[in-house]
Amino acid sequence: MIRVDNLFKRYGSHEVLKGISFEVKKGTVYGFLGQNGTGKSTTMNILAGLINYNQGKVIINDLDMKLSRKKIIKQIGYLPEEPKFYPYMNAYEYLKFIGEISGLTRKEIYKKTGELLEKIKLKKDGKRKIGGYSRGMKQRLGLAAAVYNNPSILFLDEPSSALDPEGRRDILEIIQDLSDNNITVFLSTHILSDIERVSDEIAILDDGNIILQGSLDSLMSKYILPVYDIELESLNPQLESKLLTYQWVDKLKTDKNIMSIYVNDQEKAKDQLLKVIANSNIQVLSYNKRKSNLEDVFIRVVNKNEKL
Amino acid sequence: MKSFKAYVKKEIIEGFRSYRFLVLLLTMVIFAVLNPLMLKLLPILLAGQFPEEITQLFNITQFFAVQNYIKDISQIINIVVILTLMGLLVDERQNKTLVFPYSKGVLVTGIITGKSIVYSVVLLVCIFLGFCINYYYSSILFIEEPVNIIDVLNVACLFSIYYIFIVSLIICLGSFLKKKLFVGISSLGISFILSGFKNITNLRNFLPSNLITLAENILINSSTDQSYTESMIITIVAVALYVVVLNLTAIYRMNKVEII
Ligand SMILES: Nc1ncnc2c1ncn2[C@@H]1O[C@H](COP(=O)(O)OP(=O)(O)OP(=O)(O)O)[C@@H](O)[C@H]1O
Ligand SMILES: [Mg+2]
Repeated sequence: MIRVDNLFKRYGSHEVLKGISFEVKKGTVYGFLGQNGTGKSTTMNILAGLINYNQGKVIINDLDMKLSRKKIIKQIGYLPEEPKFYPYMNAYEYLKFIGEISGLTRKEIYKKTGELLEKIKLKKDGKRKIGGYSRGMKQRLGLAAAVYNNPSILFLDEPSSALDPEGRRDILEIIQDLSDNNITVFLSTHILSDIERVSDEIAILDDGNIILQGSLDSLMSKYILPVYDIELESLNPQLESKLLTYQWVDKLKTDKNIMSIYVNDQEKAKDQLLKVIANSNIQVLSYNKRKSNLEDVFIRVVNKNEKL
Repeated sequence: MKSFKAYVKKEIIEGFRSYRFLVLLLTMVIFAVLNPLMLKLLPILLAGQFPEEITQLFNITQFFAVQNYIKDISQIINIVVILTLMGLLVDERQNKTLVFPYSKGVLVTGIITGKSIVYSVVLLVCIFLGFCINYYYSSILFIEEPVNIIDVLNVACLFSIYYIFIVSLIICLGSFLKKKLFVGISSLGISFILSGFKNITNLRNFLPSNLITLAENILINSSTDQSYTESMIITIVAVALYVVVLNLTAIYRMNKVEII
């Protein structure tokens, strides 16, 4: 469980976090979004106990960060944005080193290191020097280091940014797996489709404030206005004007024989649109609900700075 | 204790793979061998160029050879040690390699003492080895005025203590400064300034550089000299105190500083 209350962080006169608050329940995957330089990494560094904050409260697993930082650190794992290792070590040596610091016994370290290297698919390259790894390989190794101490909360700062499609899929699977095991995952990424696939809840950070947060489902249905593309045998002005009289229809566009209907109430549209069209006795060739995604919400909310 | 052990292992791996150990060892060994060899060859090289009466003035003894080595090496190791080790802590801060260890709750005390102890031991070994090699070679090359090995070991001991101080100084500076170049320059600066103060009698005994002065005098003074022994004890105690203070300061600082 993570609870952040009115958190402020300043670098000199530059105020990065201007009083953010949120709560992450146990076992959820929490997607943390925001443009470059809005303070995602700063927030994560604070939550991981690596940097100080100027004001506010950070509670993790019922412990206060200011009072019990050492205890909190033992219960969490952190994959920083750009994980850095000792380049002259190989992956085995590095994970052993992490295991020793985490206080595991030699036997546990031996077992865990092998298991994790298998999981992140680095077994084959495990004996090579980390200095020669690609960015994606380093990110995988970083993930292994982050989960080494069996954390109950995991902070992942853009874990898939350097990965190939297969690597991204693997990471998403690992995240899903962790979440199934009741581990809380706090995740920031620019790849919105990733967040869409694994997150239960999301928050959007902009200019030091959280401007939107909630469960993914509720946000999607609330902020995404669906569009229905209906292909008709022929266009019918009567039908068009009739549709426009409904409250739930926002806008209507036609292109050749395709009518695009922008609706503002998903439920009503789902319920009534087809009935209305059927009643008009015009033959429908195809009926398609355009797939909108988190990217639409993100761009709408952040770029257009709409007040929600 | 776990952090300490992990860091000792890590520093040993790093020392070998980054060739730090090798550089320190080679410096000591090469100079220990070359120094007496050069002294031996010098009269032969000069033989053709000067009249025989002059070259015979260089009647080099083992005493002279060892004493010459002590003088030469004190400047050389100072520079080599500082240049090789200046990144000891500051590199980790600059390269952000402490992020994972810190995020696993590493004990800073373990990091600092691990680094201090590994490099103190390595320097101790290198210095003793260097002096032993030098003693052995000079005893083969120069028969006259033999030197007592115990005295040479005492010199090595004082040198080692001085370089343990330098290691702690480098680590402490590394916890404050952001670039290894600054650490290098300021360590060199401090070691030169300290040795500049050696003529102030009241202060001398409390300066680490007095260890080098004492070492240079061991072969000359008999170790039974009362004031000599007194001076040595005071200096060793003072330096031990500095080492502790420098390390504690580094620990304090590394607990406060943001490593990401
Ligand atoms: N150590 C620092 N000193 C001064 N300013 C900093 C420091 N670290 C971060 N900042 C500033 O804080 C702001 C937020 O940075 P942060 O790295 O948290 O952004 P981010 O949301 O993670 O961006 P990105 O998507 O690029 O990773 C930026 O304006 C950055 O310049
Ligand atoms: Mg970031």
